[in-house]
Amino acid sequence: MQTAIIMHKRDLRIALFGPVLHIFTTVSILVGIVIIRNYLSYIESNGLYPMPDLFSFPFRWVIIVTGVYIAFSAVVAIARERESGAMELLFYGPVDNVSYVIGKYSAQFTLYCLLIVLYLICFLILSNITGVQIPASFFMMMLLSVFTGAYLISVGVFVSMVSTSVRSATLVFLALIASTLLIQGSQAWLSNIAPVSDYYNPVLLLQQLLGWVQIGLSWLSPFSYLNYGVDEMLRGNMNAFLRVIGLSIVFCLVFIVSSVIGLKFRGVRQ
Amino acid sequence: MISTRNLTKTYPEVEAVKDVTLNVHAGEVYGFLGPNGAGKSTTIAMLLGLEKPTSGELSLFGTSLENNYFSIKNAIGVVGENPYFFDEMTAWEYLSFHADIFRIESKENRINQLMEHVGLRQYANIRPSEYSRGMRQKLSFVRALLHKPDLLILDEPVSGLDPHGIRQIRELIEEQKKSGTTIFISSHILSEIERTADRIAIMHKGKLLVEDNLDGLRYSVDQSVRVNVEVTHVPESLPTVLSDVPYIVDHNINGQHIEIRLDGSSDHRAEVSAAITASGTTIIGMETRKASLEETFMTFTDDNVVGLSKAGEVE
Repeated sequence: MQTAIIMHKRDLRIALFGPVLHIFTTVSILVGIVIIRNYLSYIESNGLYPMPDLFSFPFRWVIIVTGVYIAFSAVVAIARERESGAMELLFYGPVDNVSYVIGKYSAQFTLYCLLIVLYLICFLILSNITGVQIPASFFMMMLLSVFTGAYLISVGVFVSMVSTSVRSATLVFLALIASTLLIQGSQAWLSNIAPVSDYYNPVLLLQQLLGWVQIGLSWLSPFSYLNYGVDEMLRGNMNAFLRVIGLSIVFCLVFIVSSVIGLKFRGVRQ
Repeated sequence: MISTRNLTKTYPEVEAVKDVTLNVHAGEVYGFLGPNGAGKSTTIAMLLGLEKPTSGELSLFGTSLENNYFSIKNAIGVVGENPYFFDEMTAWEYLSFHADIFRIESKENRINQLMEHVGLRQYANIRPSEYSRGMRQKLSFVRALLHKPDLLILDEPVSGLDPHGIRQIRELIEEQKKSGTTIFISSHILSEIERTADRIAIMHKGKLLVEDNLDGLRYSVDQSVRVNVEVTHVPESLPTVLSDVPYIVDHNINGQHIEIRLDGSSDHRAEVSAAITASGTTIIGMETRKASLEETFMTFTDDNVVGLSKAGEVE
């Protein structure tokens, strides 16, 4: 565990002192601010709230993008460490598969949590400036995002542990994310089309097919968990909300254990 | 210290290491020789637990790596063929990080002492990517020595270094040898192994051909004694005289230099000297020459003569 802590500190330090994270965070916050500004302009010109919670959508956008970014940087960093031989170097010493995976994962997860706290501070400041109160559901969503983010990062760590190169790890991870978002988006888009009631209509078949895929995906995708958990929480269904948190933790642990096993089989050499 | 029995590593397309049985004793320098692709690095990877053997047994410090992973890893220092570093760290940060992993107390003193010793102290705050290859290799040595290991595993430590760098690394190895560290050194630079190793193993095409000290290796490939003689002039009768001497296996005259190969039954130098002088010339120099490690190595690894090596150790 001591080794994992040392690696955790090193990775955290590298990420915090690197420029990319700061650029990414600044851009994310700016995008969030732009969305809120557009809402405020809408309110100013129409005298209406566009949605009950002004901050939920921009915050959800920011944490999803942040989760994907942190998971992606974990994928690249670990795969690059193997490709450069630095992973092998670590295993010359008293580093084993478990301490390596935990060290790497915990560094990325801590980073994600730090960014969530940073975003929270920014949104609290915005709330203060605009005079719009942040509802309790916002904080519940923030709590949920910690667990869904943890799950998403564990997927990234798993992909990097079992892949053969930086390129393959990057492609596999991006393909996973893109296909998940594409399926969810397509299903939502197709469900808005109202086909003529006909059992042989291809749109209907596609809707049904994507609906099944969506049901399957809703059990696996961290994005689905976030959306579902927020929706259920807003409906007051706290059992479903807690179930989503529990499932996120379970899947996170499954992927961390799979990462350790995957690393054992894949090996640390280039 | 290191012991393997029938160690085998098979990949889908190739059998990289086949039934390797070797023993490295405490305190010795063990030279691990073989041409490129012989299976040396795969064997080392198995010793370090980086590759899982397909079959066979392996023990370090009398125990298996699975049972005592952390205690064994804490007692080993490794210098790999390619010195790996972390791009974002200076040399000092790199060593400090490794010192933390090995939980070294008063790491600052230890790092400064070793950096001073290898002449890198003034470059401690520079990133290793800006170092020369020799400096990077020395830094790898410092990293490997930080925790005062009982066993040092060196994989091609002087590969790609200039003569000055090779000398510095050799001095480091000799210092460690004097301090009693067991050293397992893999290389295809034979002169380095010849200088430092107490015992030598030769690998070829995944198999361990032989394991012995240098004299034992020489003897196993060639029992004859080579004598080089320099004379003032070569009389016409000299070739006949040499051919008539029963214990001279063969000879070769090149100008004033005569290379004679004697059977190894006993020391015949006095008789050779007398025979040459009797032919009417004067000897101005004579030296006995042993087969070099390179010649021995080539004999062992040459497919055509592999069968000449020690009976029972080679197929």
